[in-house]
Amino acid sequence: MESSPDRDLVERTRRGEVEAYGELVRRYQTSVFNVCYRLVGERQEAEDLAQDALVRGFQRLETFDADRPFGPWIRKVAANVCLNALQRRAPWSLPLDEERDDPIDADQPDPAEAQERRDRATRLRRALAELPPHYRAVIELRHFQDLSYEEMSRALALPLSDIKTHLFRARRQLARRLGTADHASG
Amino acid sequence: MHLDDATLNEFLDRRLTRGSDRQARDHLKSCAACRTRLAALEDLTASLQALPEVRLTRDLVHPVLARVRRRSAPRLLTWMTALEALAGASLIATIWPRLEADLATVAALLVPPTLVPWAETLVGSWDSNWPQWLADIRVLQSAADMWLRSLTAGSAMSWPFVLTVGAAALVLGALGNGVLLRFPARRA
Repeated sequence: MESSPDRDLVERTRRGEVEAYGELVRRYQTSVFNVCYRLVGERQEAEDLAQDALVRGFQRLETFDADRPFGPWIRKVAANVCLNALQRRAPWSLPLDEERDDPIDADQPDPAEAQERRDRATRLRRALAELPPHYRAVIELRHFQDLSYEEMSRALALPLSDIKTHLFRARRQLARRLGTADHASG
Repeated sequence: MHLDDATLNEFLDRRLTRGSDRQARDHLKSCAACRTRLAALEDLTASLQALPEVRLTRDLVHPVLARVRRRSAPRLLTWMTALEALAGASLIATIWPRLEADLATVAALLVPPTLVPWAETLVGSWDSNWPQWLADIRVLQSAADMWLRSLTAGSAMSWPFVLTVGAAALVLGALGNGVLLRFPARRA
């Protein structure tokens, strides 16, 4: 059975067909959750925030331009929801949930290689979770949501000069935490 | 002289102007240290892009749709608001004689002298209309009274008790709605 394009689901939702939004949630819940998980570093809170973001997406659907792809838009909504949550909470991160940090593409034929990839991903997630929230935000928006500096400046309500500074400092801290500091900074 | 961090990062993100970009490329050709720093940044970017997605442990479709449906169902809220308004009006009707005297005392202290004639006109209008409003509210009260009597007929509960409990529940509901809906829980 051919699935409906996102655009049709958006239009049906706008006409009051709530079930159509359910299909959009089914398609994007994992990527929305991953935005939240990278930003807050804690699974339970990330799942709660993903839920909040998907509800917010429904409420703001009138503002969505249906000629553009739905995925980047809802991920940006999720990033905003998480950034608001991060601004409200204590400046340090909660520990990363390692025991259930189970990547989706873990079906490597070589178990040792799969383990190595999993370890590398966990190290990177931990390093991300240890960054200050505003550094985590610029990494998320630049590297995972592919926003330009100007878009990041608008999304975070910060001057362009702050975005540039945050970004290179965030990368430097990330590299330092991953043990490549000598190479990444001058 | 090496490329500074800001320039190197903007080079990586292709943010430099054409002239600055050419200068950075020329420098990178002759500087092994800056090439190494750039390679580390490129590795970091590649690692971030290769970071696998993590599974959700629960399906969010049903909870999200439940919340969406709840929020797009204003009828219940309207009925609740009407009931809460009725409970509030009944309460005011009951305590009005005392409240009227107290309000007159407070108003005498608060209303500036220039506004006294205007305030007197306003209060006079309330006074002249109040008997009619009170009569309307009492019609509603007696209807509620009859309904409650029919509910409690034959049971051990007295109707004033039921009325009190019901009014308390409505007032608590109104307070709860006001607090919980307007000030969502902050996260720790």
